[in-house]
Amino acid sequence: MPIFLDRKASPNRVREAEDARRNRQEIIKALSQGRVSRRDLIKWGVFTAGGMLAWKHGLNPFVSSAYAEIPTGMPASPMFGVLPFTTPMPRFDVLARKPPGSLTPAPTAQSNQAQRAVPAVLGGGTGPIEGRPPGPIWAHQGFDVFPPKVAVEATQEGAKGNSVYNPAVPSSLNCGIDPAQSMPLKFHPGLPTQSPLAVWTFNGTVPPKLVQARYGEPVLFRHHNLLPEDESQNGGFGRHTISTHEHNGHHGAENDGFTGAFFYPGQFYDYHWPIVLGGFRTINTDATDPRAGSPDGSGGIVKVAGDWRETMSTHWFHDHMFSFTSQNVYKGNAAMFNLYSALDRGNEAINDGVNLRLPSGTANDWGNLDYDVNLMLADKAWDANGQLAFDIFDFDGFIGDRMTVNLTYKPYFEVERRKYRFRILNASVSRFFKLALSDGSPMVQIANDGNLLPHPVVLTELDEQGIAERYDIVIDFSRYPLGTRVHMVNLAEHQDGKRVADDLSLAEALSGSSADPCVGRFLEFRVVRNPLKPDQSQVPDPLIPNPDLSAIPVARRRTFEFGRGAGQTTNDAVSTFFGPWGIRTDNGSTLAADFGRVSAAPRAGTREIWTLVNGGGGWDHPIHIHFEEGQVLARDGLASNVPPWERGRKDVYRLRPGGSITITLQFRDWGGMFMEHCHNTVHEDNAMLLRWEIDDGGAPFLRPLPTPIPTPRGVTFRNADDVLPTAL
Amino acid sequence: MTSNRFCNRCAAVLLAVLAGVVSLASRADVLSTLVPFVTTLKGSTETVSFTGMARLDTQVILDNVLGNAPVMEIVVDMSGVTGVGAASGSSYSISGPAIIHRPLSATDLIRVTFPFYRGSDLFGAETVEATFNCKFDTATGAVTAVKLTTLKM
Repeated sequence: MPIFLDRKASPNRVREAEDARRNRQEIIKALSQGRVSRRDLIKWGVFTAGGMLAWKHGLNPFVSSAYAEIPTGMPASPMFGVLPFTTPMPRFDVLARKPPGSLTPAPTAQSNQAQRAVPAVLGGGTGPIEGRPPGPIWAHQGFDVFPPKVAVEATQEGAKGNSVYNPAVPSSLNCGIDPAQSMPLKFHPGLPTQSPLAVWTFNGTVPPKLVQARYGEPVLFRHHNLLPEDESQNGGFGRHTISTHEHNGHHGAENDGFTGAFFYPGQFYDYHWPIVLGGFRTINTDATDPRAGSPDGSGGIVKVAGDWRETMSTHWFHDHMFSFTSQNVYKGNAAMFNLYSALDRGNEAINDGVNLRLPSGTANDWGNLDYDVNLMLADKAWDANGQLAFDIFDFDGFIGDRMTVNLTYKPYFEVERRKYRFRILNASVSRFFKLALSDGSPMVQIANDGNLLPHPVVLTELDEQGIAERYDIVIDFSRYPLGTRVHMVNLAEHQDGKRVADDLSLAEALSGSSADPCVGRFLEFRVVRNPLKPDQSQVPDPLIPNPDLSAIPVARRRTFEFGRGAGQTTNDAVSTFFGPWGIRTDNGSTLAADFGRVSAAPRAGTREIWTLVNGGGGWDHPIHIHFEEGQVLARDGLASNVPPWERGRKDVYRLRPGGSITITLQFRDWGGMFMEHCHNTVHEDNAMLLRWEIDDGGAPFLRPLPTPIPTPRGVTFRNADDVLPTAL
Repeated sequence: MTSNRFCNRCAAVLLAVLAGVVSLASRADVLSTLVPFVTTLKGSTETVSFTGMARLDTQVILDNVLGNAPVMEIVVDMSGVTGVGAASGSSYSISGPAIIHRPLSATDLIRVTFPFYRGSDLFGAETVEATFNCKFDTATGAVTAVKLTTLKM
């Protein structure tokens, strides 16, 4: 059953599908520009109440078709003669680290409310230069204790060429790419240049961006919104207001990219990422344990407070705009963030008994990227003109038909005969991956989400990887002779956005028989030379053990069930959104998203056990819980069901169809309003998201916290719409 | 997907409905099947003899909300299999498990690969492909017949 029209479809059928796609794009455009609401579309009969595209001629090409169960029916993205594995995969573009003093205006603890003229298209008048909500509740927590030591500044803007690409490795380790050559925003040199309205990336450019930071080195990330002031200038999808989530930073909520704390074109938002170890207020407070530390720049360690077992490594950051996350992330608002520590130094040579010496390099004291490579996997689609296209029909999810790695269509990557670490991010909207090497060779998984595992796990087929999950793996290419070409392969076949339809065998995936164009080979490794320097890296066992939480009493148990048929008990025009998806908390009603509603309020300093339940067998949900890392206690009620690669700490939890997962989390160090949601961002946007908060950490918190309501002229606050009876 | 397999899937859905297994619970019970795993593989450094029991945990998952075709969750656990190197006498392990989701079908070839390695030498791991040619009771997900073949990759 194809997601996209068969290559052999008749011209009439293709024309019909193109017409339907065009008509649907008009609807998406109207929705994304706020000209119509989902309620309007239901009223007009375009959507069903269940959130599905109505069976109408001119919208759904499968009406009157024998294949009517296929919901999307998009024509295949044209390839303009481009073949796979004909262009190199660029490394990430490392954002510059600057002194905080270089920022103008200087960052402030509370939001900078200096006024600027608001463009007429946004209503005119004046508004604050910073979009962060004003006042003490949204002031940076710990700004005086952890003043920024490094500033990173980026814009969000329309596509343009990149003339300042910094891969932070020599060209010889980046497939010979010359960073001095301007890089147009294309998914492949043979594909059309993306228009500034089609793609909105960090700094408006590719490759995707990477931030590098160390523990004990607070970062001020200033994010400028340079997207079009006119909401309608969006190329048909995407919303020009943004909120940037550092996934899964252990930061105060004002820096978490709360879905309702979005900011407008012309504004900036200062995110203060203190980069502290969990438990810094209560564990190792005198910073005496060298395992809780950070590279000092000259081979030593700067000790920091906190629990060394909470050390994190691979993060990413992305948009979290309420009900527009899927469109904005897909459009390019996604970057990665490598954290370095005494344990995970990014230097494979320093042998001090603390450094794990994972594959990285030796030239710098920390943060070497020579053999430590970020991979951002994402399925995309483009229209007849080659411009990035998005289709929200249906609300089960969006599945693209072209695989990209680091925003490049099916690239190749040159490697030496040695060990490499790959930090693999699933940055898709709705697609799950299941990865293997084309020759079936083993890979060693060392991390899951942001966290190194207690023990490395050797695998020939990784587990399904849900949206937003990160899997760090090590591949040893020394097993291959020079000249070998081996591919990374996707085994997970989709028929729609609900879940994986079929985990294919390696032979099936390689056979080319799958109707899913994103199954099979998508990244070619070319073994081009022996190592220029000896491989000094290792993968020790153990890596990072879990914090032992058994002595901490369990303050509460909560259950969250993720399903369909959500109801709405609130009706705020800004904070609520209608959709077929919802979350049922503690056996209450299944509710659609309202970021003004408090669904859970754990007490600061406590530990809780949360069970996440999939409300049906027809779909999977990768559930993300912000802020705190969880340990998986059980799957479907049994600890023995937890596979070895999920026995570390995590922040995204795949429920599996009809399944459940039980986790434990501590709530500490910082407070404010956070979120829990499905990271199939189409589900999240429609409206599988809830707000939880820690609001008893002391002044200036209120209970519940007031809800921010951003406007171009400033953020106002409202009382919470609703507080569930089981929240507190 | 081959047309045969597609027909099998249709049949499986039909059988599941006729058998009246559609209930509110979306997950049926997990059913375990032990499969003798006895094979000798020619590794790059020595020949390794494996013995033990592979375990197939199968579970039918129904879509009671949207009514889509059932899916089978299959966990292939090789922790009950150990190996011995012919030359060194060293112990070998097979890592895993493999967790896969397949459309419910009366017959299916479950082909999964696993790494096997000596001691703790993760980077010396090699690969074995295990093919379980299964027949299923589509009402319960039980394995009614299974034939195992292995191949060193």
